[in-house]
Amino acid sequence: MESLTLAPPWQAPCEALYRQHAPRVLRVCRLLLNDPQEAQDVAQDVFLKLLRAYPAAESPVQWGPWLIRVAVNACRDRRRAGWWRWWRARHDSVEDVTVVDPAPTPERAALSAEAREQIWLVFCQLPARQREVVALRYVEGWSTREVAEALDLTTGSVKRHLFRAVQRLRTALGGPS
Amino acid sequence: MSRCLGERTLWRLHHGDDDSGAHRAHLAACRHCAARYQGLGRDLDLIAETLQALPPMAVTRRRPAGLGLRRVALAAGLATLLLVAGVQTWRGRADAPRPGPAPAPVTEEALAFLDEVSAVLWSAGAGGEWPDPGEDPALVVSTGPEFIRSSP
Repeated sequence: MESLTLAPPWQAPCEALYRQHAPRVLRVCRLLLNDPQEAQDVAQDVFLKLLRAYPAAESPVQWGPWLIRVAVNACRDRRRAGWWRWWRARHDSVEDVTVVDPAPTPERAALSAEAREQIWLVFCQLPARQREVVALRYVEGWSTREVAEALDLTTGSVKRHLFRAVQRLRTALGGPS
Repeated sequence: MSRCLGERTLWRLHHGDDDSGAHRAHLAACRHCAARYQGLGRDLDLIAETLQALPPMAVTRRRPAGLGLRRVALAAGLATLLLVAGVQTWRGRADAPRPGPAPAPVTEEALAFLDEVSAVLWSAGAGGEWPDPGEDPALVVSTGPEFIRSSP
C-alpha cells in the first residue's frame, strides 16, 4: 500500500516568504542586537512565528512588514531578557572581526574602513529606540509614518529620534560641517 | 543676507518637511548652507550604505577595556558597601535585647485557682498565726543533698 504525505497548503508560501525576507530579517536583528548568534536565534524565532501566524491569518497580510515588526519586537524582548548575554557580548574579544562587504560599490570603497567602523561603533552605542528607527527608516527604507506605526510612536517622535541619531552618527564622519 | 540655516532646518528640508520658501531661497543663495546641505545628504547616504551591509559585529565589541574594568570595579565597590551595611544592620539587630515570650492569657480556671489560694492564705493569716512549716510537709523546702539527688 502506498502512503502519500501531502504538504500543508501553507508550506510553499511560507518557504517563499523565508527565501524572500530571511536576509532582511537577519540584517535587522543584527542591527538591533550586538550578538550575531542571538540575531540568528531571533530570526529563526521570527519565522517560527510566521509558521504559526500564516495558517491562522483570516485577512490578507503584508507579510514583509509583518516580519520586520515581529523581528523588532523579538529583538526588544531579547534585549530585556538577556542583559547578561548583552554584558558578555560587550566584553568578548575582537579576534573574529569579519567585515562582510561582498560587492563594494565605488562609493562604499571610497569610504575608508576606519570610517565604516566608526559608524558602526557609534550606531551600536545609540539608544535602542534610535537604532530601531534608523534601521527601519534608512536600512529598510520605510517612510516616517510606517516607522511610527510599527513602533507605536508619533511621526514627530520618529523624526526627533532620527535627527538625534543622525547627528551622532555624523560625528563618526567628522561631524556636521 | 539672512542668517544661515540651522542643522534641524537643513534636516527638515532634506526630508521634505519644510516647505518654507524663504529657507529654500536661502539655500539656493547661500553657498555655505548649500554645501552643508549636500554634506548632510552625502553623510546620510554613507550611513545608510554602511548599515545596509551586514554589520561587522565584532567591531561593536571593541570597547575601551578600561571602561569595562572601571564599571566592574565600581559595581564591586558598591556591592561591598551594601554587604558591609547589611552585616552591620544584622549585627545590630542580633545584639539588641529580645523581648521575652508573651505571658499566657489568664484563663477562668487559673483565676479560680488563684482565688482559692488567696482564700486559703487569708484564712490562715486571719487566725494571727502562720502554719508551722514543719507541720505541713507541702511547705517543707528541701535544700539538702537528697534534694539534689532526687531532682531530675
